[in-house]
Amino acid sequence: MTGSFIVALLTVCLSIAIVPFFIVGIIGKTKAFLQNRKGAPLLQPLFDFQKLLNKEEVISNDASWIYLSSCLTNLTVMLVLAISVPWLIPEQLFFSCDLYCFIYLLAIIRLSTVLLALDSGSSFGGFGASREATIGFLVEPAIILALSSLAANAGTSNLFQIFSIQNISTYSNFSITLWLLAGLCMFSASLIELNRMPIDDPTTHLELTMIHEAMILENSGRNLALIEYAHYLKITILYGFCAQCFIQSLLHSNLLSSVFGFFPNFGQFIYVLLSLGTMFVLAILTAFLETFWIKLRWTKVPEFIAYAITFAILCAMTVASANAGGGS
Amino acid sequence: MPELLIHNFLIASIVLFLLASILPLVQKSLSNFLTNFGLTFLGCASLFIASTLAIASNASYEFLLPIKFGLVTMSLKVDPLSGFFLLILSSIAIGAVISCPAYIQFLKGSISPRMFWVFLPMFLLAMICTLCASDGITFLVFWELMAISSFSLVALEYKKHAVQKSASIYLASTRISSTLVCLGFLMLYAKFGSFRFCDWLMNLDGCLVAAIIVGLGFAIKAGLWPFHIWLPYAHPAAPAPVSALMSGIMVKIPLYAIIRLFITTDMQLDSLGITLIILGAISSFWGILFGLVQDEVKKLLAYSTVENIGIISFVLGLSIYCLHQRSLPVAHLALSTCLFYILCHSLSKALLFISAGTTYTETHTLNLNQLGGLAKRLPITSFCFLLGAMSIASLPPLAGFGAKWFVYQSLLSFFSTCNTPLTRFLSLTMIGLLSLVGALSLATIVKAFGIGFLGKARSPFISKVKERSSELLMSQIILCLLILLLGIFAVPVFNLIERISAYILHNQYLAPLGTSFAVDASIIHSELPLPAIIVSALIVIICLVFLLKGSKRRNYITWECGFGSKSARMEENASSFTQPAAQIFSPLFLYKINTKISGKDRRHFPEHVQVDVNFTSVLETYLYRPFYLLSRFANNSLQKLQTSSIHIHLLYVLLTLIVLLCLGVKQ
Repeated sequence: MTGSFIVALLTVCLSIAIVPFFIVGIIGKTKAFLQNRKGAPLLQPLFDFQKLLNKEEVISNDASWIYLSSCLTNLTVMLVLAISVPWLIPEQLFFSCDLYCFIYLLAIIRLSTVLLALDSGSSFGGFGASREATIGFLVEPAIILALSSLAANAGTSNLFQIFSIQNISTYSNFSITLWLLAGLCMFSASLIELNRMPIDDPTTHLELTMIHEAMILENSGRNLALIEYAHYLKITILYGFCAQCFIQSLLHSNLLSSVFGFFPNFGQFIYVLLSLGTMFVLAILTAFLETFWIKLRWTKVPEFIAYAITFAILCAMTVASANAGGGS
Repeated sequence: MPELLIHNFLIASIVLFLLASILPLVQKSLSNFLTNFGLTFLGCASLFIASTLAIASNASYEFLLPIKFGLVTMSLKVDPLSGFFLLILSSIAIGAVISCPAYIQFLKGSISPRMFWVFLPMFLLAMICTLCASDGITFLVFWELMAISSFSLVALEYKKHAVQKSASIYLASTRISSTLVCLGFLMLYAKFGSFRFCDWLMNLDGCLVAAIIVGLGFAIKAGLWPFHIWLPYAHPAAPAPVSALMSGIMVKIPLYAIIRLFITTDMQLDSLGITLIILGAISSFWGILFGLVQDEVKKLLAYSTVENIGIISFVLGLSIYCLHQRSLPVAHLALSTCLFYILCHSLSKALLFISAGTTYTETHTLNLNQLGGLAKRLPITSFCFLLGAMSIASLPPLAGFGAKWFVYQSLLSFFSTCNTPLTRFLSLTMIGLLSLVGALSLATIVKAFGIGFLGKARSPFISKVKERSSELLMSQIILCLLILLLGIFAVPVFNLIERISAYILHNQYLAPLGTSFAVDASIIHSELPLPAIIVSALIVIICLVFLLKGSKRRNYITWECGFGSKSARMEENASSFTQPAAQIFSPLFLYKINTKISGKDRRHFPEHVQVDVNFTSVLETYLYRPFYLLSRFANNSLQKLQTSSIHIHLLYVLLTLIVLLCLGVKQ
């Protein structure tokens, strides 16, 4: 084990522990700021997490083994993904998750959350589950198509090789466009996948209109803490993916080479800072969107998802139109 | 030496099945059919050994049967391809046959166990011989036997009206399919003067019509869109083990025949490949879309079979197209993927049907709107059903995921061989379409499991069920272990299957180019890190369980806004769960929601609320119904001709004579 590996491992572990709460905190703080409120502290989600861990758990009489297993499943899958996909640093730690593994592991989370919602037989949970299942099958193709286009362009479906920063040296309009489109697709898909604003309002007072909150309505205590942490981690990793796409686009435009050239020994450190910075910017952007947009009517939701699908199709068209081997 | 062993084991299994199917006819005592079960099980075991040996030996062996049909001596040929299908057949059959005695015990009131034990071994025997047939006549004879025996199994509960309808639809589709295959084979015989498959070198132009006719016959039997109508009727009507066999292996036999006839004989037809790609893509989407809105578990599973057959034909079509384009590594990858997908789907679907059957023996219904809360009452069955369902929705670490992963890899490597932007874009679009189908199948299985097995029981009867039969559980657990192992060791198994497909392609394609058996490994640009994922997931789970130990817990009712205990009718049901999805695709379903609210002040205090959902298949309504009405009309009109007095019949004779005389004069 080399020193750089240990440093990278520590960075990732620390980020897994802190960043998810921080991102949700930033969204809350920015929204409070935009609403002329002072808002809760930045690490309020972490305090809530600690509080929930010590609380008593109330389990529905109708709940089965699904209830207990699904919080474990969600958190396990998210933690495995967090150490095996390139959301923060461009080098792989232990092993690299394949692109399709990544998508279908996310699908396992959807499955277990939806089953959890149906498990206690609550009508609210049922509504949430039904909506989640529907938006799930609309948004998953968009993510797969966008990432597959990147994979087809890179000639591999290994995520760390797709997001590699080794071979970036030349300025190319083609790559800038492709990565920008992929980033936009991933960002709009993340908003949908994470049940953020135009699809679902995480702060509304009515369970009937919510998706994510309605699904975990029956959870309490440690179970809720773990489920929420897994969801924050999902936000972090998906935003991390968007951040990587935008960073790739920036790298291809040669805007950042001077920064890396200035600190030749701290390349990895700068990269991590850059990833985190972009993720925080995306979080602030989310807060702005949630302040200035309204939640869409359920029947209008597919129209918003169509944006993500359009970006994905544009991605595919860009890759398809390129000559074999890249170029503009 | 392997030849002798394969021969002996194969013949042994055929003889055992033959004995098992004759025995109930002569046996007097009806008390139990244990002998029969034993014979059938031994036959499956013997078949398992024969098929494993056939795959391992990597060569083909031909045996003559001591039966003559017309002028042709019937013959069987075992090579790794048929060995592979025999292996799937035997593993599913072992699982299904174990569950048979308990299942038949449950159905005793409505079916005759004697007939079941006559037709089940006959069905297995027919499938084996169809898979091993080395000439057209043998193939057709056993193809027919397969059709008839499976029809009899579907029609076992013939006193039920629904079963009568299903059985007749199934019978009609097998008749049309067999007619087409027969016709095509006769045309090929006329062309080549032989019934042997190895003499049919279909690279001549004159074979196009025959190839289309044969292909059509196979498409009907496989249940490809738009010929999939019979599947959702036949599967729910048949007993669960039979559905498992039909969905698991029978619908794949036509695909085997396509590989046998069109790939091993150097068929230079890219149109066949493109047709399979298009029909496969449509049937995968169409199948899963209709699966999504079904309320009956077995119907839902039948539509999911249509979806998977679509994906399999899609990959097979891709392979044939690539063969035509001479991009052999991609063709090889696609063919191996196709075989691997068949294996994974067969096992998962068999498991699902047997789990559904086990549920049925306890609940006496499979309508999702009447089930609920089974996860607590049937824990093992529900766990097995969930694993099978996850495998069907291609979630890791189960068999289905490996299969889906290789499909994506085939498409990615197909992309890298494409030259024009259009084909490159199309191959990416296909990835998008497949992912849509995959995501829809996730929604479908979530519905099947979430509504049927979770929540509150929807009737007092359901709330008292429990697992009683250990045979049914055992057969599920065996299949469960198989799909789990197949999922974890997907890559090594795939490497074995690559050898089989290399064997298929070797004589025709690889040998002339001087390419060796060795597979071009560089074509897959990634590796499947499943073992790493599983190991890390296990570590995390153990840590979390340790962390979670000793948390304070209390049980209480589900929260219902403080109105007191809620009833099961307030839960989400099967129709409401998929309503948002059905609304999106409503033009394809002709989806309608009818709401009736009545009462004095109907807005605030309704006395009677009734909501029903109805949807119909566009295909059945607009395509098949006119044909059905036409044939019924023709039938009724012709009936009048037939059932009249003797005078009219004499008149017919006279008219016929006059016509014949006129014809004679003309010449």
